[in-house]
Amino acid sequence: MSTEDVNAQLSEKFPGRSEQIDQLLSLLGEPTDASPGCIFVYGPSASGKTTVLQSLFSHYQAGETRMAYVSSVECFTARLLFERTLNAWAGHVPSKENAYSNYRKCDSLVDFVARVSELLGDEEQAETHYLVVDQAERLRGTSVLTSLVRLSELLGLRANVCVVLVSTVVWDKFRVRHGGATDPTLVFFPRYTKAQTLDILAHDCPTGEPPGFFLTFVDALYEVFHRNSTSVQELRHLVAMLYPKFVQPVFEGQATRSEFSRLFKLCQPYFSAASERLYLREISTSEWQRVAPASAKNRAEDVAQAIYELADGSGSGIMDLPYYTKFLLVAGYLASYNPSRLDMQYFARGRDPSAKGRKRKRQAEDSLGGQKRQQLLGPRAFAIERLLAIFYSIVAEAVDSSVDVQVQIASLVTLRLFTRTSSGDRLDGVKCRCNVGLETIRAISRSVQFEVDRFLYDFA
Amino acid sequence: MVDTYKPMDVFDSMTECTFILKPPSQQSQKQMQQPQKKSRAKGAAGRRSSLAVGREDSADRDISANGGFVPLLQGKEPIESMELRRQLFADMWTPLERLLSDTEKKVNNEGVTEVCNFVAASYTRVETAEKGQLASPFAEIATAVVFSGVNTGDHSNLFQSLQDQLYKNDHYVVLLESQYCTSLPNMLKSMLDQVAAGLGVGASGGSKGRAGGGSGTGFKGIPYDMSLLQVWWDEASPRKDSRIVVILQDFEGFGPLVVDDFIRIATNYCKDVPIVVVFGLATSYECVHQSLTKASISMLNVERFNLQRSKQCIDTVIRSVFVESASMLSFGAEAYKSLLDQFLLYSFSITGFVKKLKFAIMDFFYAQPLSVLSAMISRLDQGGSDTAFSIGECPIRLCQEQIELIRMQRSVQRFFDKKVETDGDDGRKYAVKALVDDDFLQDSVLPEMLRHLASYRQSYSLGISMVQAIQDTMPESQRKPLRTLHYYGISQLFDEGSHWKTLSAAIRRMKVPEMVLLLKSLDSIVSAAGSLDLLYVESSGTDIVSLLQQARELVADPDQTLKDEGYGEGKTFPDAPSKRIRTRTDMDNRPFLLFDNSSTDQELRALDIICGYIESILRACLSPYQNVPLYEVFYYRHSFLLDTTFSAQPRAAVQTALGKSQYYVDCDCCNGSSAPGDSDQDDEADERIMPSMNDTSIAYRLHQECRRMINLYDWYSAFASVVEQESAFMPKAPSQSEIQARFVRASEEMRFLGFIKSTQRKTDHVVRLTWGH
Repeated sequence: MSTEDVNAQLSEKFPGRSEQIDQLLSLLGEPTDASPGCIFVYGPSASGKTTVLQSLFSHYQAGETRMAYVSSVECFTARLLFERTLNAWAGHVPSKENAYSNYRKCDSLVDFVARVSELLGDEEQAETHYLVVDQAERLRGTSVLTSLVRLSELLGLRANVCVVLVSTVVWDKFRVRHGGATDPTLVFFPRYTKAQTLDILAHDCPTGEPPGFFLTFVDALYEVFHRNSTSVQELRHLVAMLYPKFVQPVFEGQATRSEFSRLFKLCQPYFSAASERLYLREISTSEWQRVAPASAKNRAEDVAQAIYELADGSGSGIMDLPYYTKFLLVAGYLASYNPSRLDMQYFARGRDPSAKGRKRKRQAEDSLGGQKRQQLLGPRAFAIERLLAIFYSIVAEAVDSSVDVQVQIASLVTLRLFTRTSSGDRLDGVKCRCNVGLETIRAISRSVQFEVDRFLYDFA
Repeated sequence: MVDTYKPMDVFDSMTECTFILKPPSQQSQKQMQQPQKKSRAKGAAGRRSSLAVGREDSADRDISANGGFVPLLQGKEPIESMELRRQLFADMWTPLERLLSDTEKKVNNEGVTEVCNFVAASYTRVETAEKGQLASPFAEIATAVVFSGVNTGDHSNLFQSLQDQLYKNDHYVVLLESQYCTSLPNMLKSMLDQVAAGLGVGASGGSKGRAGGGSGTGFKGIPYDMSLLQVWWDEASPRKDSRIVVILQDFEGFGPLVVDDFIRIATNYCKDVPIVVVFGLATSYECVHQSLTKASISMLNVERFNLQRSKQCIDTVIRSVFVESASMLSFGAEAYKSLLDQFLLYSFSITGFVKKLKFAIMDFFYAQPLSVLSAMISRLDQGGSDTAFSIGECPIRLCQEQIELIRMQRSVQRFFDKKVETDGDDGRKYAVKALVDDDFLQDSVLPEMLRHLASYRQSYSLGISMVQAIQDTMPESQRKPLRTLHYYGISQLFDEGSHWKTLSAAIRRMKVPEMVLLLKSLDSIVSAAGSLDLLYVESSGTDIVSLLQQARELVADPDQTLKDEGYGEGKTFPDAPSKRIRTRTDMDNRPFLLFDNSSTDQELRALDIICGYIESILRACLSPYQNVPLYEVFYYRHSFLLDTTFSAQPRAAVQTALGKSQYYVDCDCCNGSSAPGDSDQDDEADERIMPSMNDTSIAYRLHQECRRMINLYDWYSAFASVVEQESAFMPKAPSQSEIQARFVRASEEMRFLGFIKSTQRKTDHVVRLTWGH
């Protein structure tokens, strides 16, 4: 297939990416051409980098053995990366016959270079072999990266190799501090524009649906959601979730396709719920599909209610903790957000009412303008002794200082409701930080009839 | 301390729940023979000689020969009786243990099945024929989020049963624990190892031979790589509906980045290999959002399952163990509270609950000489719904001491007193004979008393069931769980507490049709209980069956029955509502009558009488267990023992060790001249600071006399003056520099233990951090 054909085909498949495809194709050239040593493809996530590259390579060359695709998340050591590459180039697949071993054992760069020249060096007319490294930002700061950038240099004339790095991070962040690194050829994938996005989504139009109607819906959805996320994938996800709800009234015969605003009105509760819950995946795909479909039969409030219940329900609300553990958690929150100098004022028994009055007043002043409120700064680390002192003073009844309390602190740390800030080998003077939000703490204190707000300093 | 009898033995733990089996050295054998004096001393003696355990194996075996059981009653208990106790313990605990584990399994099972169904249904979503449906652009991994509750100790059981169930359904299960998955390579390694074992790749593959029988799966020298998973899966070609289920048992413990990467990798493969991920969450769903990035969360298709059922499980256990009394041993209010508090206030842990229960049962058979009596009671029909007990012969003759012990129980004395009261002269003769004639006591009095006990148990469980039936008519918020009802029931406060008021208000608010329903359900409870021995309830003058019968008649035809019974127009009941609200008092007492227009006066009166009946039935059934003969034996009440054993108090232990070190050390030198066993003099001796004591202990006692600031020099001089007296029993008095060094060490230890802290406020002073003596 000629370069022009490939270009035309891919450009149709990937709207808005023709410029990049063109650029890449011109860099790659004919199979036997000498290619640039390293190409760096970058751009925001969901801008089609990986997909374009993969289909480009599959169209562009006949044999699969010339392209190795590795993800650097998966290949977390240099050895994995090298051996996978060799496997791909050699067309080797681990199986029972070869005892699941890789093509060659390859631990270091030296080995890798030697193996590659062994593998590719004897070919008469060296075709370019490609190594595509996805999520290349993981390689930043490693020696693997520097060597990959100069791989073709290292191999010299023995083999014709091109490394393609794919990343969401710009090249400037990759550049090593001390010289000696060459810059690769950069290919930038910009964010899709609105028109391009709509073009892409037009491909998603379900069979049997009028494309015009579908696109109008997508257009409307784009206008609503593009402020939150411009990711095409996210938008496609939302369309996939919301469109069935949107057209449901049409199938039920309660509205026609021309009554666009009426359909939107019926779908309104779903839209408002989706903007937060669905996008944040507080409701998953399968849970969402169980929500009642939009129709004139359902009242909007009922639907909204059902959606909120879905997100908060099924045990995800307040966690059920043992009674004293709840108090421990509340005490931890108070210790994290109250200044320790005020502990006497808040927790000492038999405080005088005048002091209380004064405190109230100041709180009122501070709550408006306190720029350095702990609430804004995040939780502060506290010593376990302070936590225990607060705990014993907020628990209504007298509690024995038995080992059970200590065990509960330990289990709160394992549950990551407290995070330990002192190092693990320090046994005395352990410091923790409360890792729970105000809303949860409020709910917990409500369940044990404890007014946490009375004890919080400088909270708005 | 509540307990009056104490086993004098090596299994006496002070605070640490640590037992030391000591060889029967000369000393301890001698002590065994001696009349019971201070059990504490005995425990300490055991500790002291513990070092010898390793060496004297033969002696050690001697101690544990009877599973740790020793003859009680100062060694006068016959060997058969001891053997019987041992046997009884085994007989009781074995079925109970099975019951407990079965209960836990049964309770978990429901949730486990839900998860299994989810796993089976994952990846099978056929393209629905529904119009307008689009596929999600993300390759989502089916994920089950399982809320398992904060009782992390029980989780291994839960996940084990989940794993077993999934295995049964031909899935391949990988159970990962955070402690083995600190990094991504570790996690993949343990995952791939388990998958290989499950798919049988490692065992059958030729690799093992080549690798020379290497460890684990035999893939020596091969990096753990997810691409292997795909290869294995294709080669093994398992059944179509099989899945690889990866369970992250304690999600909170996993490093967020590790799980994040894992999910990103798994998404690359989930098209070819059906991977289902199960997160075990102890806290809330928020945690997933906190630890995972947006990118990987959008790869998950989450379903949530709630498996935190420890409360439900405990309720079932309490019902079968305590209320319906699978065994004769029950818990007194104090001990029950201690058992339940540990659960509700601290841990929600079933394992902990079971441990405590087992310890109490062990203690009962181990240290209660009268526990042999439980051999006389057995279930008529094990396993059936029949709750009747049968009283049999005691397999051994009780010894003199046991008989005396029975006679000494206050409840037994009260039982005799009551006999005298009710039966007059016959009763007197009976009582006298029981007090003098041992055989008579064992052969006829004991069975009678036990029959009382058994009958009480039956009516108690009947009463609790009735209360639950009444509760079922009340709104959810007013209901109490069984564990609380049982606590009310045994704490003598049932008809005084607030819940009683709620209950009686609920039945008094009922109208005729509701009352008919309630009576029907009460009836079915009574008839479901099977052959009832209502001796106990009848002895208090309440006849449940006939009262219920009367109530049924009343509600069926109020006018007629009331007339027949003589509550006609002429006769007025003092507190019956003979009229509707006509006075202010009526309004205050029965405001609900204002809204009640449907019932006639007669009906109201009938309802009122029925309520009285029900209340008296409940009162009779749920009367305190302290009225039952021999309750001291069968209601376990050593809550102190449970508390000290399971809720150790480290700070108190340190303070005791330093302030009352003779408690632990039990040496002669520090006890001074006071005779052991004489507690008055002991206290005085505690105050005296002896030079033979440990240096830290001396420093601790001296610092107790100081105020907030401690002058180091004064402290040192006081310390030196005590230590110098060592010359009384040491060959050489310590030198000045030695004393100094020892003082520095002692004060440093005090600082380490958190009693003092250095301060900048005053030179040569330290701050005291604890108060009081």
